Amino acid sequence: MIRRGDLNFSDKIFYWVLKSLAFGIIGLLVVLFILLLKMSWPIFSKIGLSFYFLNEWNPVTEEFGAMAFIYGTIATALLALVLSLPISLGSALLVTELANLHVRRVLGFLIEMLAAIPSIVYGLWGLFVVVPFLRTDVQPFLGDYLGFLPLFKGPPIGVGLMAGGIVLAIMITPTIATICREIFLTIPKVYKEGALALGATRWEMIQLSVIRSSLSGILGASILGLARALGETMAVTMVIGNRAQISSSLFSPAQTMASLLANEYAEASSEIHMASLTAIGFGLLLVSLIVNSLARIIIWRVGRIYRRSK
Amino acid sequence: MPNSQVQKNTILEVKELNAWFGDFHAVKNINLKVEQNDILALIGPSGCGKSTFIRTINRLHEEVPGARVTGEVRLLGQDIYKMDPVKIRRQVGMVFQKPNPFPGLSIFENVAVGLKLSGIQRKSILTEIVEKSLKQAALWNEVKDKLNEPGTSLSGGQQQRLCIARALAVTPPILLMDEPTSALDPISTARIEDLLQDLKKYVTIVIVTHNMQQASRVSTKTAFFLSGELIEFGDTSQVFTKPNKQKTEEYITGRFG
Repeated sequence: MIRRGDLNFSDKIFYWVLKSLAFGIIGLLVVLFILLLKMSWPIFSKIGLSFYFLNEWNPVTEEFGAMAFIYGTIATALLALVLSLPISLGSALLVTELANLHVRRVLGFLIEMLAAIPSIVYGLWGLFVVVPFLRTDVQPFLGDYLGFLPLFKGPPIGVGLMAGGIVLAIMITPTIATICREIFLTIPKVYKEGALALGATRWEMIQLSVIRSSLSGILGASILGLARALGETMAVTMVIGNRAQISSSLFSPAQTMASLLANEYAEASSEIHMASLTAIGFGLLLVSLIVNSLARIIIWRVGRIYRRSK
Repeated sequence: MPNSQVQKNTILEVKELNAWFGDFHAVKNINLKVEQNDILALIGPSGCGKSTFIRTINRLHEEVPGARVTGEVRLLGQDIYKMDPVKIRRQVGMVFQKPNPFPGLSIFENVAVGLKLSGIQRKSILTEIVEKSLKQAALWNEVKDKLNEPGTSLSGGQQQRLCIARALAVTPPILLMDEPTSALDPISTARIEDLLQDLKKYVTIVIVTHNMQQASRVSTKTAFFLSGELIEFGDTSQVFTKPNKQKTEEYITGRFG
């Protein structure tokens, strides 16, 4: 630790420059917060926080409520998580516990590459590949055999919650898989060998010493994936169908908070419409911050436990 | 069997065993025999291959990526490298350098885990064997009232005895110990050394140790390893008082290592 008094003059300047840059980042966040709040004030002063609980969106009659978009956001993100978790866990386990060195490297690299694909490319793929496939094959099949469930009711349109969830699932898989892999790698080898030495098979060893000791880490990774799914915009906008409605069916079109902003911000004319959109942005920022912090805290605590026991 | 006289007493027989990590030849051409109720101590300086050797006996060595083994290891006459490693490991107990009770499992569950892996589900049988194993490991009196507490809540020495109980629960003919006291304080170490003398009645023990006093106190046979080779193997009293090889003498008198 360097005491400030020990620095000479040029180092003092350097220190203050770096310090102001670092705190500038935090300042930026604070400014963003204040600005969003200020810009959305017209809608809050008109109907208060009930804005987030009303299911009404009509820019023409100037009726605004965000419930449908909150629902769309949560539904697609949760669907993405449910679809992504088994894939992510499976690939992380394969890479850390089962595959040989060569497969480990190649597969780990490929999974991380998924994160580098631009979101608009996922959107195009979703629109031209996933949506037609859902419309002609998956949804008619599900409708025929599981149509009695509210989840699979309605006409097979293709675009909608299901398409959004699937595209998001692939987008959040690298996040969850990579973090799970990191967590599995922190588990001391002595636990894995302890299980193997007792005559555990691979799967029994994974249950005994890997899964059991990384449950909270897996939870943290899932929440982080969820956070990414909540904020993802472009790819979802292209496949979600863009309709403000709450429906229990995964076949039906919907709208997320982020995709609504992408769609309407450029065309918003009235002050109250603009304020409502900003209020949605404000809500999204708040939720993302909370969810992200929660995930980071959980993951950090898991890492700390094993760092101590090593 | 024609040679049943020999096989009755020989628990472990190693013939021309070699082990590698990638290109590194860690264990070179080892031949030795361990008889029933022996305690064999493996001594030698760090990196001499004694830990690698012990890990070839339950086929744990091959779990390291790039590791390889040639030669023969016969446990009760069966060539373990021609068998399913999972089955072999159920017959060989192992205790590690660092106590490793499974996180999230209670004391009871930790001891019962090997039994459950071999398919024993009956609660009454499990309870009986867990008690017997904890008594053999001299831990029963300390934990009998808190069997449902997590195994990791015990002290280091207790955790190590818990791991010994876990290994004994499946009644293996042989128990491998890889520097089992090197992470423990002197009192816990003494308790485990005492325990080994009792365990000798039930199980044959191969123990890797850094500590030559420990080897001379607890073992009946001693094998001295150097640079992957078995330099000398014989009765502990002979190896420590009249070693045949000069290298052995230099090592046990503290001239290197």
